[in-house]
Amino acid sequence: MKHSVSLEIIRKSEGIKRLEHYVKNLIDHDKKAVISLLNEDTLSYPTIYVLSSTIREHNLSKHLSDRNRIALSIQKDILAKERAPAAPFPYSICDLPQYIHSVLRWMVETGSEEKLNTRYRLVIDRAAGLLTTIYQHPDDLLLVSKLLFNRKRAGLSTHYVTWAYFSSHNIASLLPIGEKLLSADEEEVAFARELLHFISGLDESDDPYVYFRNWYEENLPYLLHNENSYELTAELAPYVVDHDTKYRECFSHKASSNLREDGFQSLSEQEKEQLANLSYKIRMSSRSEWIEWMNRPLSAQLMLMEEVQHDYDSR
Amino acid sequence: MITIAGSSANKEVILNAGIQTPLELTIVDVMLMSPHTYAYRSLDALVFEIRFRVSITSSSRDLYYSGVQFADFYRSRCNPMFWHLLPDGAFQLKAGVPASEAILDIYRNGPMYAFECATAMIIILYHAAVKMLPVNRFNQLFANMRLWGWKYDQDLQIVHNIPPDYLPGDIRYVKNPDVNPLTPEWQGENIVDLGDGTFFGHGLGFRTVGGMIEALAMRRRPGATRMPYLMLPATRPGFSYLYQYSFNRTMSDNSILLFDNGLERSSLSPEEYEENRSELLKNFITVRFGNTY
Repeated sequence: MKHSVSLEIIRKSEGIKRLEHYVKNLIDHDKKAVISLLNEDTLSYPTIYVLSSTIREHNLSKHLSDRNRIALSIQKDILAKERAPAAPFPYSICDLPQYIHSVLRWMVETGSEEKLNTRYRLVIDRAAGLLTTIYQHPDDLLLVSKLLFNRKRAGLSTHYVTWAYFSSHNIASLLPIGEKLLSADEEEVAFARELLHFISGLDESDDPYVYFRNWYEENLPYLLHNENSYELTAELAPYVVDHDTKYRECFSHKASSNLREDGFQSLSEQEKEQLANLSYKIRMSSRSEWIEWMNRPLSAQLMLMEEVQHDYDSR
Repeated sequence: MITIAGSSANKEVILNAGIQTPLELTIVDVMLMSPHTYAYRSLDALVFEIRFRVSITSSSRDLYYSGVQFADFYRSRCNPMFWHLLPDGAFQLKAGVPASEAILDIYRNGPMYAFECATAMIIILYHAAVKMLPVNRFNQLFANMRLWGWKYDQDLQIVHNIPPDYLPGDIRYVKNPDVNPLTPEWQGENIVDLGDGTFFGHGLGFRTVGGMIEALAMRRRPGATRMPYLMLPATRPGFSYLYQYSFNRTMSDNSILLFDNGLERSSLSPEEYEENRSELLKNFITVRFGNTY
């Protein structure tokens, strides 16, 4: 029997039924060859997933590489019907917890393009959630953002991957989404805009990418993680701009500043945003002018804001 | 306090309008005692909201006893006679099926259904609306119904904000910020205020807020440092918006729709409109449908 054909090629070219048949047949004739094929470095997680029941039935687990054994342990844990509350992941699932992060990366990296079935997608989505919430390595964000857009492209649920992605609580998670605003694929751009809908003014912008970059750089120091979720609202806003901090920064050396801050809090959300943006622009232009401006009464600040807005609107 | 058409309303007048049950009385008392002004166009509109709120609480109890199950979006299921199960776990009303029948089927054939807590809340609101609106109106309004979390709720005019008072029938949210990433479906729980100190949460049943927090705390990740907590906003349907559909008359092709400055909508016949035209034009943005004069 010819053994040199990669399991990966069989799965991709002939389908998963043929792959299972091939492996079962080969086990009967040459078990060592099967183990060798399963432990190839180039093997992807979807192939291991497809063969997981065959591996279990023929007790091949003990012969697998660490990577494959850990992947199957993670898969088993994710698909467990009953979960003891607060099971001590990752230490409970295998003897080599130090490798779990790299195996999770491998699972998501090699598995995000495949759709297979609902159970498979659940494993991949949960693996992504483990990466973003437990390990929180910045490099994993790009990986999970790719998974998110793959899911959307395939017309599948993005609910839990979106949750996983923004659960990283890493503001840099906005960057890979912003980059999609430059995509040639209109659906990707539309999805990126949907995810970034909370950025005030983005929808009206002629060049959303440039708008996003400017918004990001301007508001980065003032972004706060928002505890909202899709379970609570139809429109997820993972981050909000802290307009109060953007407006006054560390300005507090006048006795009247408390009064002004109280006044700021009583403004509408739109006024807060406009005044905070104006305050930021004056501060960036000249700190001394900004201090002088901040010492003016709130009513005078609002008047200038209206004049600036009027000039902008009449352009 | 409560105002009806701009005038302060006293408790006796409200009770005489048919407010009877202890839960209805609780709602009236909270509104009357509040420093916030609850303004209604008519006594009927107030009674409609009170009864709708009570209906939300009874629909919550009925959902629990219907046998529906909790499931994440991967494992959602529904009765294929009434609904299409979409790849994202949403339920899409089948063409030709009256929306009211499809909602009632969830309560009749509960074990055939499984869904997440946010979808459960939308189902409860629709079920309460079935009871509060004439069936033909309900079926017109929600003809293209899709159930999936909070995402497809335009026709319920959902309001989500921090209210002046919390009232029975409000939907609150207990956030679980350190949820176990293997069970993200427990990242929080939507709960219905039942007005007796207890709440209903799909998957968690009837508990106090403390009980909900305790149940979610069990579903946190190892090493979690933050406890679940009750968030301040409350969610409820647009009662005043839905009220206009509570009358059992069909809107003729030439009905006039009136919008005031707050975009509150009301409708009247062309005859009524012509009679008071000059006054109405001063106070409303007017939209006319159908035949024009």
